[in-house]
Amino acid sequence: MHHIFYVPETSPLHRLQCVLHELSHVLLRHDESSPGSVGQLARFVPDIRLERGDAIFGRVAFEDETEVEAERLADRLAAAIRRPRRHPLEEHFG
Amino acid sequence: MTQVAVTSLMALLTVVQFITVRHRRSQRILYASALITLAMFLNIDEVYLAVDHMLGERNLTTFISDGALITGTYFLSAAAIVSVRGVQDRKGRWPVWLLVAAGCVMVVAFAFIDMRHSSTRFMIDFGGQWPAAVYNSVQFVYLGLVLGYTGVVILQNRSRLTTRASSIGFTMFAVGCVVGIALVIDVIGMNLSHLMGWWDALRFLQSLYSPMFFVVMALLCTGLAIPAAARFVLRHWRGRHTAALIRQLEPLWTRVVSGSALPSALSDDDHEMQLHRMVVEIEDARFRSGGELQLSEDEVERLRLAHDHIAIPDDLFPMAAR
Repeated sequence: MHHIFYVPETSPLHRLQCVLHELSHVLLRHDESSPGSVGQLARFVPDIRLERGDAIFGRVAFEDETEVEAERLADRLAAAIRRPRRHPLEEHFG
Repeated sequence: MTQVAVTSLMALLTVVQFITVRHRRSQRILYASALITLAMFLNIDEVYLAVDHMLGERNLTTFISDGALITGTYFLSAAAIVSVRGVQDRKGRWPVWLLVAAGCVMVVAFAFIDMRHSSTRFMIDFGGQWPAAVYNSVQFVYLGLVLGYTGVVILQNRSRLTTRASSIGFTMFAVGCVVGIALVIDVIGMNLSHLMGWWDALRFLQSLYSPMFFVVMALLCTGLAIPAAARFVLRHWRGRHTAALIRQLEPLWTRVVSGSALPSALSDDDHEMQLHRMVVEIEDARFRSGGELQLSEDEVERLRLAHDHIAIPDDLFPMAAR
């Protein structure tokens, strides 16, 4: 199961970027290749029994390649959401 | 004169379709415009005579032009049908089978027409022969059926179009299809009158042909050009506005964003993506500073304008709006 946490006290666009960034980690299956970070994760979900391999991802710095990948995908997802919805006739004829 | 005007309209539409090629999901409409332009161009008297002279003065130019016209019309209908029903829908494939059948009949009928000279008045000179009447009638029945069906598909979907320009353009196109069916009836009436020797009826129907032909082509061309041209203008205007916002935001971005920025922030070709990145990185810097980063009133206003420009409607992503 995946949980996405975000800070509500920022702008709507920033909240969206944070959510899409974490969603991108899930879509890119970064959790499957992560060494795990049970110690850090336990601080956020103290009541849940954690297993080896459970991981937490944060949107802090972009030195890590997985963070850069997730951020780039988040940008593309945001662009796709922002693109105006059009009828298929307009997509083919416009 | 009508032919030159119609060819110019079609050429203009093809140019519009070509300019907007990158932003379309399918290029069927471009193939349709190019083929119909070719058909119209070959029917300009001077062009016809020159090309037909090169082809041995056997009126093969008529055949090439008519082939381009029905194939172009097929692509036009396919663009509408596929966009609404999808590529997999078998019921929407009948125009291609009808195109093959009509093409076969036209080839056979054309071979039986007795032609002694190159003619820019093909049906006036040879329309008294049964093969010529069959050749021309099959072609126009195909055009009528396909245009009629395309018009119905467009009218059924008109209320779901998202912009006023699309609504106006596609309505004009559908009206063009309806007048096109009247033109087909006129042509079949002319073919029948010619065969039967009903000269008064033929003269009356002939007098209707040119104005109807011009009205049909004008409605179809203008109807197809309006949505594409409107999108082009809007995209151009929005692109310029986005570039201006990037320029306004750049000093703030340079001031507050240091080593944490992704390397693409100012190198992305897509201006919207670039502006999005700048805003996100400025917001990141504000968040990291824990309220210590102070922005001037002018900087806050520039950031707000950028936010408004790339904002996502609340209903599309309610979690972000909360």
